[in-house]
Amino acid sequence: MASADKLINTDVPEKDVFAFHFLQSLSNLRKQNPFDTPDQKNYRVRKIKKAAYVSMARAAGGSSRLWSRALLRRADKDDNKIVRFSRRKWKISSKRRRSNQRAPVVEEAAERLRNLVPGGGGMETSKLMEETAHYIKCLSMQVKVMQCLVDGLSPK
Amino acid sequence: MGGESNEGGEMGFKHGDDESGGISRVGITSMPLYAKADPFFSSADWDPVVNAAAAGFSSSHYHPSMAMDNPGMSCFSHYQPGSVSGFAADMPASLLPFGDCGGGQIGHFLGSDKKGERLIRAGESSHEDHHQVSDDAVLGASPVGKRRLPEAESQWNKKAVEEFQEDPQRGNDQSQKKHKNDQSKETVNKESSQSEEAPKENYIHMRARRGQATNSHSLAERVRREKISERMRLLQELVPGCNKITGKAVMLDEIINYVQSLQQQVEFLSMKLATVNPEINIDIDRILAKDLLQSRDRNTPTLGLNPFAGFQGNIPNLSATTNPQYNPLPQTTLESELQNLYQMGFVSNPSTMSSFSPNGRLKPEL
Repeated sequence: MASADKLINTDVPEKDVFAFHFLQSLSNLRKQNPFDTPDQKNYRVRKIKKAAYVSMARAAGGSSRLWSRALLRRADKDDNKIVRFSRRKWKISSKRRRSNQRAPVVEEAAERLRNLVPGGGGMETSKLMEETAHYIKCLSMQVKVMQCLVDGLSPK
Repeated sequence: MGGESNEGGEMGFKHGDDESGGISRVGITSMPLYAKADPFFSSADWDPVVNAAAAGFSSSHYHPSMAMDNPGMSCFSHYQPGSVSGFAADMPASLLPFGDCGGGQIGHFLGSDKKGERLIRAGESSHEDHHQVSDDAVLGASPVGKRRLPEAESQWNKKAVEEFQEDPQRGNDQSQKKHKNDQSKETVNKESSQSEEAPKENYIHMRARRGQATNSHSLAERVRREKISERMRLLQELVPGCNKITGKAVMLDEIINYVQSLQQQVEFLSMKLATVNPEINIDIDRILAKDLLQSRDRNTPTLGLNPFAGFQGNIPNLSATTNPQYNPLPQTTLESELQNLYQMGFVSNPSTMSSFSPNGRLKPEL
């Protein structure tokens, strides 16, 4: 996504980009796993959820963003597991926080936010805020796309 | 005030001498070692020199100025080790309160403000004639020396030195115990930067007014807080219902809740999609077409930026043919578009590329 690379700050690609990526990964999913047996529902849900996240990460600019890079790396790493978000350098950040005695409430909340945003474990707080802003934008966009899909499919 | 952009230790002293020439320089350059070696030495040494000056010992004109400078230099050499780093950077901006305090301190140190200022002015302001300087210094110094007894004077000096050492912790911003002051000041700064989003000039002015918290750590800390609050503002616009909230903690809680709710929504929607997934076979293309048509109405120019050249080129066909009824023609075009995308090296998903042979296998499943 060369276009997303050049976007400044927290601009986000349009909705159709997300829709395109998501539908693409859904069709991939269907190709790989035909989903014929209904007892695989949990597995299917996990797969679709992962497809949603991965397609969102791809639509949001591939590896240009920290959170999308972390998400894609994680998704490549455990292809058969649920998408979990790593907290790689958590110890460093907590040690730094403790040593400097920063505002404890904000840092604690930021610590919780680090667990939510993928790849947030190694981020500084200001960078974490920026990535969170972008992540929120992309996530809401993805939710819109998925809602649109569900609405379009459910009347059938 | 004379030497303004000099090091912190000599500031208050420089305040005292207005455009002073060689005499005050002698005092400056000679005194710090002298006074730093023993802080009480100068104050203890003060009385004999003044007494000697009062007694007419003014043949070498440097002595009175040094006698003038003794209290001042002993004062400022006390806090000089504490306030070395980063002090010189903001010196011209932070001159005024600092210099005032320094002058007040000198005057206070000498007992009475007027007398102290008069002493210093007399000792150092007129530097064109050295003899006159020494005479003025003697004249100015003599009432102080005469008014107090020598032992009382030395006690007074020590008391004043201690008072000066305690004084910065109370009110003034100059201190040798910087760390305590920095912590309290950082809290104050945090409150102020939280309440008012200071523009750049105001920010600098705030720093200048305080004058103290300018070492590299607190500067970096302040920059970091600025960045965080700026990003928080950015986040505040994104999260609905976050505009009315003041206070970072509550706002962050709200942001966390929002992210969590979005993630739960994704999970819920993927669950829903999983239930409808078996009969999704043809509908995906329909929805894709619909989505693209809906979104294409708003953002035609932004699509031009995307690398989907073949993708957007075929969309007018779709919108022309498939919007009223979903006939099988657009599906085949979409298939070919997807294949085109894969073939043109859609590099952002190498994993699917590797597990996916584009030509043969996509078509029967769509």
